[in-house]
Amino acid sequence: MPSVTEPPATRAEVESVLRCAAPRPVPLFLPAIYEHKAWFIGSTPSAISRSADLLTKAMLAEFDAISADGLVVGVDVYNLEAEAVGCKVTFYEGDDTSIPGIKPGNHVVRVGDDLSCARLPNPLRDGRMPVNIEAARRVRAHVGDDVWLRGAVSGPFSLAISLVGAEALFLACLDHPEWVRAVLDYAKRIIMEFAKAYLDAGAELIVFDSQASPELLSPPMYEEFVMPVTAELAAWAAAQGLRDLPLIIGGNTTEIAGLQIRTGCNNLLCDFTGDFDEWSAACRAAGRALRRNLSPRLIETAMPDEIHEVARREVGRGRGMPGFIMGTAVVPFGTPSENLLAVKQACRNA
Amino acid sequence: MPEGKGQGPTTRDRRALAHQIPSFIPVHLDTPTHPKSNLSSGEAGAPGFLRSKDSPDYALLNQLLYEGNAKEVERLVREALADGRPVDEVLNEGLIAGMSVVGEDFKYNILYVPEVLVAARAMKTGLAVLKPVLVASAAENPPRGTLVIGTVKGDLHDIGKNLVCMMAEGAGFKVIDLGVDQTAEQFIDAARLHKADIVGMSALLTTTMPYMKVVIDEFQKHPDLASIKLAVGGAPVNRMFAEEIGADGYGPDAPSSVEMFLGFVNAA
Repeated sequence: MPSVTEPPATRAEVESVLRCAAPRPVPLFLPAIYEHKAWFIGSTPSAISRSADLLTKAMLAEFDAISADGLVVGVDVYNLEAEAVGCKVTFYEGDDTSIPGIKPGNHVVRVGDDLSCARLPNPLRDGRMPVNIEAARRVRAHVGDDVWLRGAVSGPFSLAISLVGAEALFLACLDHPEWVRAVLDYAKRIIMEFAKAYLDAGAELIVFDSQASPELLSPPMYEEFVMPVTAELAAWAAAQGLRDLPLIIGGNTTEIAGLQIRTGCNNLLCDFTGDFDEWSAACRAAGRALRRNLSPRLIETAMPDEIHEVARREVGRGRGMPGFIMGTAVVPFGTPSENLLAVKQACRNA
Repeated sequence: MPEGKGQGPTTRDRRALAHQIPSFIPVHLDTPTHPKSNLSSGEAGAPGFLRSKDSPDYALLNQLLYEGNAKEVERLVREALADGRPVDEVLNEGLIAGMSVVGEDFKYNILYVPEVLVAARAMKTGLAVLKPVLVASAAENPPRGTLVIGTVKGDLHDIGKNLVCMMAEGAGFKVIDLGVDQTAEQFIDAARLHKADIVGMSALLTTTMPYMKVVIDEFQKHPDLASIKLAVGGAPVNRMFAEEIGADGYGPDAPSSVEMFLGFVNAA
């Protein structure tokens, strides 16, 4: 499989896709590279997630190797905001490539807590937010203004799970719905602090909220709890001058496609298990860009020719759709670059 | 759970079916999001547990458990024991049967995680009432099997594993929950210590699932552990992967995992 060394799409080209102008002959290619960033510089996720120097180097190495049509600042993206307000993150030392995480029990909010005056983070000081903000600033300075660079933030529900714990929050959805709305509002305020710092550093935003997937939370609960606060976040981002806001919820989210559209986020995800036909019809009707993901196992373990063939089929399904984007689910650490470039090549061959 | 939740009727089919079943029980959680079950009806407004000595109202108990009404589940379990119903009957027909419907409806997206958790909480409340009696009659009512379970090394995500624990407990298994981030040695030590019939490994991340093979390979080095069934599950895991690494079974979701466990112990 040939390597693809063409430069990434310009910001204007990206905007044209995100705003659903005429279909682009070559779809945007946006692989989900987080912990795998470390592999490009022979490091580990724990190491690069704690060092602005290493994170910057890893992102620039990723950019050189893959040259995707956008970059994301972030490694263990669901931990940053929670850590900044006191949750303890577990890191792995030496050559252990495990991904940092918050162990069950290491949560800082209890169901029923009054959160009206709860502490907000200072992104230039608290936890590892400064690492990410500094990396965003340095990468922006290096790649220039024409590359779509986004800072990863948690979605409100996923952050609330990190703050409260999954079981406690899920039970509270039934037992204490008013309090759940309060903790989601608190989560939103934390996210906004982090997001402001990213915007100041020259990055845009991308919101991850996979814990709100219908594989966990019912669509009525998504509508009742998550959609309103996500819409507030999107409206706030728009008020900051941000026109494009991706919302990424993994898993089969077909059942909440319409609800995600109603959040106002303009770039949504149909994961590899989702129903692409339903998703694409919903996004066409609403004028939203749609990223289609390939399976991470395929990307990790298949041969480039096989990956190219699967990607070619998916690109074919998106042909003619304004706003279609080819992507991957989270790329496992150590995935050969040839495998990712096979997807990019399929986009070029479209 | 990207593999989907089973091969049965589609969500839409199931929902359509569920909506055809009339509302039947006067006890409902005060929430608009809790669905009605497709359990058979108890008698609305029945004053006590027994409709007659020959006809205990396990359907009502099942329904209350389904709705997560822990207080009423506890009350009915106490009444059942006070009325002289055998403890294994209350356990099997009152609690386990109710939880199995919860599992089934979870599998087909009629219930979601919050509703399953609230039902499991009600189940635990009922079990707590039964526990002293069960302990006293342990010889006559042994657990269906012993499950040792945890997430594998490097994986701190336990939602799926916890659901499996609750449903396995609800199905009558003794569950030893090791928690998260478990090494092969920890799985092996716990399997020996608790005389496990089944060891369950869970992973959410593609980066941690290869460690399941490490655990399986380590188990295979110990002949005394050969009879233990090794099962895997979690969002990125699929049947092909399970077969590749030599697992005895793969659970695409919590209810299917428990069905698999029952298959293991029934075949033993």
